Amino acid sequence: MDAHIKKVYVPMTETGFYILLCLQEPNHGYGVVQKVKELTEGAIVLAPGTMYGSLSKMEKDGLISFLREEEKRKIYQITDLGREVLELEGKRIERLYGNMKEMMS
Amino acid sequence: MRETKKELKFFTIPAYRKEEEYLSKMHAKGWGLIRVSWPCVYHFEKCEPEKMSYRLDYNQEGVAHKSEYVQMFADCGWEYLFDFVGYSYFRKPAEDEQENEEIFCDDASRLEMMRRVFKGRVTPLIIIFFCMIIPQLSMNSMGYGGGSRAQDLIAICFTVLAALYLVLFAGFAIQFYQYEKNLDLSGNRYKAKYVGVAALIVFFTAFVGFMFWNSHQSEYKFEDRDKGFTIESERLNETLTEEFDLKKGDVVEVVPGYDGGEWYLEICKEGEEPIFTGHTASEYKEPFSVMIQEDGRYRIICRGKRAQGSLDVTIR
Repeated sequence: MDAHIKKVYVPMTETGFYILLCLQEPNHGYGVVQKVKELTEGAIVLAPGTMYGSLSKMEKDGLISFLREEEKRKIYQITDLGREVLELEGKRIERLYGNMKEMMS
Repeated sequence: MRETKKELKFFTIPAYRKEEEYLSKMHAKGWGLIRVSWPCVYHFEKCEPEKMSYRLDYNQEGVAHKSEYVQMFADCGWEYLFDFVGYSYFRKPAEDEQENEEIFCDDASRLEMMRRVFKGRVTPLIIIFFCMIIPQLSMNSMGYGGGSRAQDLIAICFTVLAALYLVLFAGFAIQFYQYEKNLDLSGNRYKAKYVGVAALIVFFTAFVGFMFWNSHQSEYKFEDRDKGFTIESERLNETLTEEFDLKKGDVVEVVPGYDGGEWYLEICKEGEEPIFTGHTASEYKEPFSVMIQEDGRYRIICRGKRAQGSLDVTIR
């Protein structure tokens, strides 16, 4: 993974993390918004400007790829590079969570 | 036909927040936005007063792929209105969910939007600033282009423009700084960058100020003789007066060595109409003389505006 990708995406914004997490299944932007709302019980509502910007940036950086268009909605899926980034970020969060548990108990 | 009205209102490029507030306020008063036209005219039509959030996005890629871009916002409940100079306008009734709903849910993506605005709108201004305004001001300050009224006006316009640009750049830098400070993903590295930007803005403010000041300075040699005087000037921006007792039949010989700017020459008795006025920029490039018709104490007044060259006055 090149240093630029690592610098930009690790650590990642919550939006970025949820996009990658949800795009393990092919989905469109609004599908991700709904999924995240469901996962977080309405606590996180991703906004469209953020979604559109993040999706096009991630596509450009090769973290996700465009599959097809359905009713004016672009369907994306995570790429191998995206999976790598997601894993790296997952490990970081795991460590964060582990340390928190340790220090707070 | 529904009642409509127009309002002219200016917002600087990065002041989209203020613009959003303004539009929401208008809607709460019962004026819904229909369109914006050049230069900054907001067209409204009468509507039910209601709480409506207006939001602006700047995304050239979205504008290029309009249908999917608009669809994404529509799915999230935002009505797309139109584009104006790169900004896309959206609105959503505020009661829908939380008040003041945003189209960006984190500072990172808001900063991304500002980067797009910077690329699309501010970069061209920076190019104009460095390729046009600064060279024009320096030329003017050094006295190129003469000292006519038109030139003065141009110089003042460019100075005002330069000041406006600098205020705009500073405002934009402050906004960027605030977002990036909140984010601080890069571990304080942003600070050095903004110290640099602030230094640049201060430097160019000082530079523009200096140019303006410098263009009103004088640099000349004045040689007073018993019967006349000589001025040799790099840049003359003041009025020089000499007094002589002259008799009927005396001749004032003037030898101009015009090399730029404007020279004015006036010969008069104190408190009287001048017996001679001349303007060396155009008609008095060749030597000439003025014959005195009446005894008295005369003033020979030389006024320069970015005047370059020499002027020699001798009485015979």
